[in-house]
This record gives sequence, C-alpha cells and structure tokens, in this order.
Amino acid sequence: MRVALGGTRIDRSRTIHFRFDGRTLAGHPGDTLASALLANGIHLVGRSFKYHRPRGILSAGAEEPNALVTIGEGAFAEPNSRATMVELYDGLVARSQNAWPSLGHDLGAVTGIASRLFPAGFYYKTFLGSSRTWTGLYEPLIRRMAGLGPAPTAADPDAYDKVHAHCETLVVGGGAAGRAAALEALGQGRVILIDEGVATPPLDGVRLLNRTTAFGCYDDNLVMAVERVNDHLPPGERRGPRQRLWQIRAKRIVLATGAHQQPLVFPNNDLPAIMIASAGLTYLRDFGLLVGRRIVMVGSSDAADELRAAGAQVIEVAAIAAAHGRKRVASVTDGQGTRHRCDAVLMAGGWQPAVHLHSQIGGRLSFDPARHCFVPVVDPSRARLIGACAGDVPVDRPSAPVAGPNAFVDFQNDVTLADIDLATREGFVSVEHLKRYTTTGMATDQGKLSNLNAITRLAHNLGGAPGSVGTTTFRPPYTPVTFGALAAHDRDQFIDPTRTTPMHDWHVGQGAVFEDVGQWKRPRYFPRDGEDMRAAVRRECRAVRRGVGVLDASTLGKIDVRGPDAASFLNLIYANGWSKLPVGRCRYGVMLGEDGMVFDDGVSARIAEHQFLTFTTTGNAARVLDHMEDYHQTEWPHLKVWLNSVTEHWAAAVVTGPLARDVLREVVSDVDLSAAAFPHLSWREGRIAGHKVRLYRISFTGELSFEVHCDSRFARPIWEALLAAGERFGITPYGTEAMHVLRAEKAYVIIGQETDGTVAPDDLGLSWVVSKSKPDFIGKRSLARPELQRPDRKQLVGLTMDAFVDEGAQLTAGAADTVMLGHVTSSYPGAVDEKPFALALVTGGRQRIGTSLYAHFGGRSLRCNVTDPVFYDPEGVRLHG
Amino acid sequence: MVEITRLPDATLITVRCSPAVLDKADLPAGLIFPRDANRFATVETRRILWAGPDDWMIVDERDAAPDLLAVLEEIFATHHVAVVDVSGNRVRLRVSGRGARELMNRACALDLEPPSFATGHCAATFVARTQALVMQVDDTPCYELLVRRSFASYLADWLVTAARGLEPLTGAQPFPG
Repeated sequence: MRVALGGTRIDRSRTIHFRFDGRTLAGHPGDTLASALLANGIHLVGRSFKYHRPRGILSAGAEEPNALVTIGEGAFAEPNSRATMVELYDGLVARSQNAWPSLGHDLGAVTGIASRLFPAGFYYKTFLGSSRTWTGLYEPLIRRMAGLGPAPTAADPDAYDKVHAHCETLVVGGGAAGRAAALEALGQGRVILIDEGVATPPLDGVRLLNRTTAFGCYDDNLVMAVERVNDHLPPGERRGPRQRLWQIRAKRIVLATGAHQQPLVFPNNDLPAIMIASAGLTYLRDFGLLVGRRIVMVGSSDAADELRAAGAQVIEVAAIAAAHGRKRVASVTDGQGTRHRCDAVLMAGGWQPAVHLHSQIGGRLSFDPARHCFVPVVDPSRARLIGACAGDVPVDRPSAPVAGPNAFVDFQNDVTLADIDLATREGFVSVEHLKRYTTTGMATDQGKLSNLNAITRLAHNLGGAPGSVGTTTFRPPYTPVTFGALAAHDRDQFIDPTRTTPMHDWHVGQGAVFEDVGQWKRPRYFPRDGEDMRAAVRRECRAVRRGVGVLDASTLGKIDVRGPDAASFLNLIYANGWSKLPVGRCRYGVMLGEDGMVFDDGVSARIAEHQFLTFTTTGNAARVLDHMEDYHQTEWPHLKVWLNSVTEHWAAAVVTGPLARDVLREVVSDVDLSAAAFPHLSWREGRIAGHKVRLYRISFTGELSFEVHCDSRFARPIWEALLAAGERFGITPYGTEAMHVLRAEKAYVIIGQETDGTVAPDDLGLSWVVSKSKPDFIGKRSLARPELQRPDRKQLVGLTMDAFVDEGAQLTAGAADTVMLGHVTSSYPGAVDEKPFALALVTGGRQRIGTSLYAHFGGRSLRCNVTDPVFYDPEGVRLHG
Repeated sequence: MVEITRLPDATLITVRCSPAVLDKADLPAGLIFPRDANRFATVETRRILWAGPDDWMIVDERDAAPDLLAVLEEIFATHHVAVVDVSGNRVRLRVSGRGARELMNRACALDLEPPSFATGHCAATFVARTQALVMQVDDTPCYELLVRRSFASYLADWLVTAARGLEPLTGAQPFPG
C-alpha cells in the first residue's frame, strides 16, 4: 500500500506496467519487482523448495532467500532472480516458481503437511533402497516437486562482456562509509567504487560501478564483480552486453559491504508478510509503501514511530511464540500468550556484518556476544573493513528461538529448528557437518539470513557460545552469477583456442574433414566425390603404399637445442646416445620419465656440431620443452645449452611412397636425392620454389619418405609446388587416419595410444634404443628395478583376426576367462588388403606369439592370433629405398 | 573504432644469452638490447624486445634475416649465445584506434595503463588465452602483438568479435581526471 511519505527512489509521476503470473500490474520507475508487488498488496510470491509452503518477500536486498522468480520468457528467461534486486521496467514479465498448478493452489503443498516425513538428512535416510527405487521413483519425484526455476533449454541469446581492470584502491559498497573511503583514497591513484545500488551519485575522480555486485575475493587482491548493464531496461532499449564481468586487481581493498539484519525463529515465521524489520523501513523510505496496516514489531522498535507517522498501526511485542495464517500472516501469539491480529510482522534478530569477501580471502572472524554476531578480526595484510561490515552495527533485542512446527532457520532450503536439533542429537556437532546434513546455508542465498541462527542453535544445543562453534567456510559467489557472464567472449568457436597450420586454408579448400589433436585442427582425411571415411582412408593408404602421398606434419613439436653441451644435454634427456651422431644425420630417440616409463619419442637431427633439432610428438611439444628447461635449470645448470621452440617456424610436408623421390626431383634443387648420397635418417638443405628447405629422410609410414621443412611464411607456395610436381605421379594428400594405419602396420607407436605412463621401452620392443654405455640419463635407475625386469610385463604384440576389433577391447586367454591379460591399443583394416589387424599390450606378450587370445568388446568375444607387431616390410627394405 | 590489422610478416630472431655477454660484446649502434625488463628499443625498422632475463626478440620489418643472422653470429662468435631465426614462428597483429585499450583490457589481464604499461613497454603474456608478446608502440595507444602463427586466426577472430561488442559500449569510460 503506497503512502504519501517516503519514496525517494521512485518517480510517482509516472506509471509503468508489468506482468506477474499473467496479471498486469502497475508500478513506478525506480521500483524493484518486490516493492511493486508489495505496493499491489501481493505478499505471496513463491513456494518453498521442499515443503511448497507459501512464501513472501523477506528482505529488501541481496540477502533475499524467498522471493525467487523467473524474469523474461523463452531463451531470455532468467530463473531464480531475487525480486528484491530486479529493477522494474515497463513490460517486465515475471513468473513465480516451484508452484503447480498455480501459486495460490499448489498441490505440492501437501508435502508441507507431511513435513515430518522429510527431516534433516532425509536424502540419506529415506532412500536407502535399491538403486532402481531411487532412479525410478524418488529422484523424478523430488526433481519435479522440489526445485528452483527451470533453466531455459535454448542457447542464451544475450551477449556478455568480461573485462580486466586495475586500480590502487577498490572500495566495495557505496554507502556512507564506502563513499568516504573512496574520497579519502583519491590522492593515492586510481579508485574504483562498486555499488549494488542503482542511484549512487557519482564522485569526482572515482570510477563508479553502479548495479554491480562484487561476488568473489581471491588471492592477491583480485575481486570479481558482475555489472548488470542492461537488465533494468525494457528489451527494446538494451544496447551492448546484458551483463559485464569485472576482474579487478587492486593494490588495496576497502570493504564497506554493510550488514544484514537477521530473522527470528518461531513457528510459522515463514508466512508471507513476516519480514525483516529494516526491510519494512526501506520499503517505506525508498519506495513510499507500507508493508501492512497493522504491523507487529518484535526485537526492535527503531522504526515504529516512522511507520506510525506513515499511517500504520504498530504493536510492539517482546517475543513471538507463534504466527498464524495461511497465505499471509493474520495474527501472532506473543511471549505472554496474547494473540494479536495483524497483517504484517517486522522482526529484528540482530545484525550480522556482511563479512563474505573478507572471509573468502581467509580473513578470520570472532564472535561478539554484546552484538550477537560474528565480527571480522582486523588483519592489515588483508582488506580493510569499515562501517557496518566491520561490526559497527545497531543492537537489536532478539528473542530466543521458539521450537515448534515450521519454525524455519533456512528459508530457502526449508531447514527448521527441529532439523538442527535432530542433527545435534544424531551427533552432527561440527558446524560443517551440520551444514551438509541439514543443508542449512547451502541454498543460492548462501545462508545470509540463516547461518547465524543455525550456529546459535547448534551452540545452544552443545551448551557453548556461537564463537566456539565457528562458521562454515565462505566461498564465492556472494550472490549467484549467470554462466553467460563468466564465459562472456569465450563461447561458441572461442570456447578454446584453435591452432591451424600454414596449409590450413588449402585443406579447407580441398574439403578435408578435420580432427582435433590437442588444440590443433588436423585433416583426418580428404574425401572425394562422396567417399565415406573408410573409402577415403583406403584410397589414401593405397596411394602411399603404391605411389606417393603427402601429409601436413607442421604440428610436430620442434626444439632447437644448441650450445657446446648440446649433445651432453641430449644424452641425459634421452635414453639413447647422441655423441656419435654425425652432422647431417638423424636418429630416433625415446625420452623417459624418472620412473623409466616412455614419456615422448621422436627423431632428432644434428644440424651442426653444437646444434640439434629435436622433434617431439604434436601433443607433447610444450610439455617436452618445459621438461627439458626444468632439468636444465634445476639439475644441470652447468651445461652450456640453449633451448628454443621452433615448432611454428618450421612447416612440414611429408612426401612418402615409392614415387616420393620422383616427385622431389621435379622441384628440389641443390640436393643429390640418390639413396647413396642421401640415405635414410639423414638430412640435407636444398631449395624449392626459390625458398630454402630442409629435407629429412624420416619415415613414419614404412615407405621411402622425405619430410620437407620450410619457414612457415613460405609454406603455402612450397606445399603447392609439391602438389603440382606430384600431379603426374598421382600424389595424394592424406590425413591423420591414413597416417595411423600406415604407422601401425610398421608398429611405430603413438605416445598416449600405445603408451599410458606405465609402458617402458622394452615393453614396446624398443630396448635397442636404450643406451647401455651412458653413465646416466633420466629414467636409467628405474629401468634397473626388478619390476621392469619381469618377463610377464605387458608387451607390444600384433593381433590378426577375422573381424574388426574395438580399440580398448580387453584380452583374455580363453573365451570364457575373466582374467584380463591386456588390451587392444590400435585397430585398423590393413592399408592395402584391408584385413583387420591390431596392436595390443599383453602380459608376457612376446612369449605368446603364435598362440591365440580372445578380445571382448560390445558384448562380443573374438578370437585373435598373436603375432609380431611389425606387419609390413619387417626388413625395412622399402624405407631405405 | 578499434582496428585489428594483420601486419606483413617480418624477420624475427631470438637471441638467448646472459646479459653479461651483451656488456662484453662489440655491438653496433643499430643493435640496442634493452636491459630493463619488459622494454623494447626501436631503431628504424628494427625493434629489440626484452622477452626474459636471458631472452631477446629482434623484429625487423625488412627481410633482414640472412644478413642480420650473419652479423649476430659474428658478434657473438666467441660467446655462449643462441641466435635463432624464428621468423616463421609468429604473426604480427596491430590493435589501434579509439577503444584499443578497452579491447586489450578484455583480452589481457595486465594493467595496461601508464605508468604500469606505456609506449616502449612490452610483455610476454596471454591475450585471449593465447601466448603473445605485447608491445605498446605509441601513446594513442596502439599495440602490436606477436602471436604464435597457429593461433593467429583464432586470436584475430576473437579480437574482431569482441571489438564488435564494444561499439555500443556505455561502461568503458576512461578514468576521470
């Protein structure tokens, strides 16, 4: 009911309209949804979480636990909005939540009558049955009955902004204390003042963020805040992002976040129109309305005269034994047993400083018995607190909690005084256990209006003071934050950075199908004329085995290792030796962890006496460089060596197949490409299309192969020159899928596919790589452990079978066995004959060659013959070609 | 209006050495290696960035690699120095125009306001979760980014998309006073 007094925030000269549950209502600019509903005499705005009890508006601010509504429609809908924080605009559409079929007649309220069946811990107690009872009966029932507003199913069409800001002083809270602190800090650099409110007047020289809530405080003075840029405007008037996330790094933080007046606990204290006393006053002063005509005040009489002056009848009582009413409070029984008719109750349960941000960064609290609240312990190394949040709060005269039915402590999670008492009786005496068992303080309001009462009750039950119980941990966010604001720009194609090679556009032009390899986009295959993957891969494999193929291998990691100790350094990093590798030659190397397990593999080339180029796997490039830097800086700082990533400086094209040399002869100058002059595992420098290139004879297919490496700036013309030169030889671009088939036939392992951190070199048949003569290298000591000498370790073998087997399939000795002997690591149809083959890690695998095993996958069992893992050209004649 | 421009590829050379070597080496006037952290020096078409305590990045807009590499090799011949051609490693992007800093504040967590970051300052940092060397090249302010080549398309798209969102911006007013 509007009155003539007060109303500083509203413009009474203008009327705007909004809808609540389909009803069109009027309000004034400056109203919140809560004040506009109250002005229309609407107190019942929602149904509670568990018992579907009628609930109203409890507060006038961010602490509101009850009045949660859904704002907007369709994909724009924002569930669980606090009506006290929603600014009214013309055309606003709001809906109540958790009520069916309607707010006034909620069938779910029957659970309220049966509330004794839902005591504290009911999740743990009631549903101990078969898991089918849970998933089939209870869970769907609970999800339908007890819930917050439904999230929209469509993608969020709104835009969000996210920005970093820096300042010397950050003040959180735009009340009198905060504004004074902001002005005081002006001489000491940049000042940012954050305020949740809408009408904080600007301060000269201060960057003021209105409609902004600081919801998290983190290490090193990082404060996260969300600004509601457009939420207060009708949709047609919105410009720019809906909300903006601020990530503010401040030299100094001043908290002036105020305090929250607490409710009192008595039976039916949750009835609509029972409100926090200070909220009743705010509705009068800011919005010019009385929350009732006949108001009972309990716990404080501070506002009584002001309410009377506005026209209300005010009855002051010292305590309330119970409230009565159905959808709105109709009367109360006071501490003496006298019944008072009323249409609103204002309760003052003491003020709790809003210490959330202080506590999030580890600030301590102590209990102040005089003011009956937790106050922050001053710590100069942390944020400074001033005003009410520092403990400078008014003193109420809260009455003791009254037990009885429906005496609520946590309004949003429907936790009653009886639940707290039950939890104590059942032995939950730690406040953290109490919280988890009863769920008190765990709702979206984070217990701003319940924690103090819950802690006080627990302490009372234990015969101590609240200070001895302590508080639960304060965690961000202070108030809920929409995911859209947290993601902001990093959505859709920007959800993760994507990396592309210099030839990427060419691949796209050829219709390549890409796969993600880490952040890289790599062509998986190049389908032609409606080919499916299998047909394309078969064609690409055959081209390499019979003619010539070309692969974009630019993603390989490349590390320039140089300095007088480069060879010594690699001797320590790799399991194999490097000292004797001549300039111009390359060598395959395996890198182990300290545990002796294979960490990475790849070829390194000796570029000069004191310079190597080390290739890493695509996925491990950064990790290997970090690993090498780490060992250099911490273990062997005396070694004179520099490590530089040149991964992206060198683009790479692999030309491979029996006709590879014929293709290169067409385009490469300055190099003798003959096998005698340029043997397998060597490198030469030459030119293609006028640009310098390095050619490496490295084969990952088992065929004659040349890797053409060039400065990435010129990769596209060189790639195209190779394609043009190869045209008459039928050169075929191939992708990672064909690459995998071709390498698997040669038993060339892929780190992360054949290895999983438990695989040693010998397990892969790579003991020939491991140096017997070097005094030390990473992993050497571990290789000598008995565990790594066991003959029944899992070893790499090949499998052949009549049908295709899934990668990851488990292997057993007999068809009906349950003892797992290993698993399939790679499985493909053969490159040319298309006969299924696989690689597997099998216990004592090398001893089992010639026997059979059974692979189990998808409910099937398949007989497999164990073979040598090298299926193709075991003598290596072709790659030496 | 913020402008995001891809600049022509340049010659990029990494020089790794202890600062003490720079004191001893006989450096010509055109090669100024900044000793202060996060600063770069400009001589004609060439910039040298402090990229780490033992790490400098030379950016030359001319195609200078073969000559410059030879010169540097000779200067440092008797020292433990790595001179590595990394011209292909990175792409240059420029962020300029009104709102350039506002856009960078969205992409980068550093304090980009003077005196924390000003013309002649550089930093190795993340820009839109992409590793980059950031330089402020004039007071407008205008920024140049050296970003790993594989990330360049992603980063440019990110910046262009975020810049589009900045246009109707109301809340990005500069600090008053």
